Amino acid sequence: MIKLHGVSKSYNKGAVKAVDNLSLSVKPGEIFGFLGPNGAGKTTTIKMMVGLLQSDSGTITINGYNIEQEPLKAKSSLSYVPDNPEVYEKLTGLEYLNFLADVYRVPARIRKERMERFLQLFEMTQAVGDLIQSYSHGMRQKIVLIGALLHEPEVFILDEPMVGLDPKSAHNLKEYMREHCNQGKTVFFSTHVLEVAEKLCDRIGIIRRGQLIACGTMAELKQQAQNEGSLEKIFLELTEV
Amino acid sequence: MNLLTLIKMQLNVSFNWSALKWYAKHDKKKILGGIALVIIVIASLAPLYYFVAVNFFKTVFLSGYSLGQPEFVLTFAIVSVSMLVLIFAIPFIMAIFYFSRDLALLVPLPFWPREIIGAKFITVVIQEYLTVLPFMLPALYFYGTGVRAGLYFWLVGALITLILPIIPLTIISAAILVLMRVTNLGKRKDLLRYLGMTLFLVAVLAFNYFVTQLETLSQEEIMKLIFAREGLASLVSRAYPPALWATRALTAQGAAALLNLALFVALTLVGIMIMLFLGDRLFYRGLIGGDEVTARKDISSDRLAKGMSQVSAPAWAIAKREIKVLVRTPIYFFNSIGVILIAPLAMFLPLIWGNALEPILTMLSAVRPLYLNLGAAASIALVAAFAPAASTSFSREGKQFWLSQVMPVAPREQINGKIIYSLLLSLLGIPLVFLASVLLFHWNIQELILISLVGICLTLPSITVSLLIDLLRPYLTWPNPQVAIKQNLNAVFAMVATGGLYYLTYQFAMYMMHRQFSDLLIYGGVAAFALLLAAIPYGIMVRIADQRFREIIAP
Ligand SMILES: Nc1ncnc2c1ncn2[C@@H]1O[C@H](COP(=O)(O)OP(=O)(O)O)[C@@H](O)[C@H]1O
Ligand SMILES: [Mg+2]
Repeated sequence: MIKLHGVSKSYNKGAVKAVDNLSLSVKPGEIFGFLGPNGAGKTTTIKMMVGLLQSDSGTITINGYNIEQEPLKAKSSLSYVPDNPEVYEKLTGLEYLNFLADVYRVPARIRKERMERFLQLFEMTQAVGDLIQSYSHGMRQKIVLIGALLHEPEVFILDEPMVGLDPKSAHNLKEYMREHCNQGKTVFFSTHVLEVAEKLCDRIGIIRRGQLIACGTMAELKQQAQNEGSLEKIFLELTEV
Repeated sequence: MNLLTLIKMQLNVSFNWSALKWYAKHDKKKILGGIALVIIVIASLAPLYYFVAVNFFKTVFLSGYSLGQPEFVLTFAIVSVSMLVLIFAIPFIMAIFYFSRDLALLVPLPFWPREIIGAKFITVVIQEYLTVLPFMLPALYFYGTGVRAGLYFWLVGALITLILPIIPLTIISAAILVLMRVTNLGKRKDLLRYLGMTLFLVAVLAFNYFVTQLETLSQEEIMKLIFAREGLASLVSRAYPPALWATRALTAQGAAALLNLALFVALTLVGIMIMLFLGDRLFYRGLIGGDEVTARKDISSDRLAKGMSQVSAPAWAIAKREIKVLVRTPIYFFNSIGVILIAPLAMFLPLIWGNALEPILTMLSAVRPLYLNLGAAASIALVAAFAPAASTSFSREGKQFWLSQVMPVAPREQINGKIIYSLLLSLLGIPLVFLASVLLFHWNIQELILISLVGICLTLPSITVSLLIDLLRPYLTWPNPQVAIKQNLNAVFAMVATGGLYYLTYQFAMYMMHRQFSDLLIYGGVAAFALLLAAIPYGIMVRIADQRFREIIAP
């Protein structure tokens, strides 16, 4: 469960209003797509949700815990996959996964079983003994993804997860997201591609210049777009040609 | 023309001009804060520098002067600087040439390798002036004012100071170009590179040893040399022959001076040419595939299963991560563990070769064991304090700091992990104490244990105050690892703060000795005092850590 209430954030002392009085909520069992063009404020919002940025105003709760007041409890119940997978190059994939399992306190037996499962799912078993330095961009993304899945988080937050993944891995990830939600957990991910959101999401929020301009199921949004020129326009912007 | 652009860009990047200009326009406070910071650093180092270094050079000048050899101070400074650069710029050159982030950008551009090497070399030379000036300025000043030198001296002095770091830097550059090219063939590149750099260091020290021992001199001969014209200078410059040319260029008369100056400048130019020549032939071939790591070997299911079921407490997991990253990043390794192991050797070996050990030992044997043991304990702590391992611990996380912010591990616990890691590193000083015991002091077991324990207690204040400083202003946006660990102001601040804490500890120990407490009580008292000093920064850190982790913006 995710709740944002009146969240704002500006950069450069107010010169750039990246997120503007944004409110939304995502229920358990839901896949929520956060859709918007480049520079709309998606990454900024997500960074505030996971505790990487402080909001100027507003409140964010993850699984019932306020991210600023009870950060450890909130963080224990979420997983985050950044858009740009910066990981310790000098650890092997296995060491990295073990490190994450340690800091998320995943018990030995469970961690082994999950590692095996996810490594297989994303075809990383072969490479896991190598230094991350030797991984391609996509492989890095996958190792971060697996690391984020190890503790089976209540809330799974991903920033542009499909960018850079090969089609098969993207497919597997989508399958996994669906499965995850069927267990009553929450998935929140951002994308700038309409089709991705359309196919996968229960609900979609559209963000533009920091503001949530529309939010609902795809059908609702399409309905609304027929009446509103601006939404229509943004749909066109977000459709891949 | 293009080359000039490249050089300008390199200077711009390494000194952050664009960022400075941007801040000067948009954020005056930050610029003023930065200037204030630099002033604080200089102000806190200045008294120490004045009392230790400037007085030292004055003494050197006066003792040379009294023997009728005023030029000795110049040779001495030139040799010291050159040797310092030769030993400590190795990881620097390595980082700038091979581990800069901008290489992926530069290599595809239409430049010759020598042009890229040359542009990067210029930035290195400029940064080395920070090492050169503190030695050369007092030496030139005392000689120049002491003998009332004329304009020629000051002009040539400025010229020699400017080109002084070039010869040692070209030697290192050539060695590293060859090393990277050769090791690029092998499989275990990193290991080979550690070995190669170690070998280079050994070669430098061995050359030193060799030339100083070329002719074993009797006491009489040494005396004769000392009183001969330029005797001291030629004795010292045997470790680094070009120093004598530079000295003569400064002190000789007429044509002799110009001839020596020409020799020194010519050698500098030859060094540059050799480096550029090697650069064209070796640079790309050492670079391309240079960060390729050991080839894929399928991991056995056994090892996989074992690796998957190792559980550690979070603090310990963090300590392990820190150590792995430190040991596996050559630049970090050399600047931390390398310093812990090399610095004592670099201090000891010249003493042994110079036959200076015996008189020192006889002197020390007269000293009370208490003093000697405390001194040994202090040296464990001091050596550890010189390795910027704790003071750059947060900074080095760099772009990966987001993980520390996202993980559900309390910042306090992450700090504990970093303390464990720093302590483990400082344990490296203990084998050196054992070595010193075997070779020199012959301590018994109880004394060795006592020295080690007190030594470890003494490292703690340095660790906690260094971590605190780095937590207060982590430098996460570095362009290459060398900048993170070596050109990080936090390392300097930490050194100054550590110095302050050790000064307090010293005063406390003196007080206890003065009051004639029993030896055991003094050991215990010093250890307890150190722990107390360590607890203060730790307490501050624990209080501010949550807030800091929220505020810091990972790049
Ligand atoms: N570190 C930063 N400093 C200043 N401005 C930033 C920073 N990060 C993002 N911005 C600005 O905030 C706005 C939103 O950016 P971002 O959240 O990254 O968008 P998105 O992820 O939707 O592409 C953009 O206008 C961007 O220029
Ligand atoms: Mg983004």
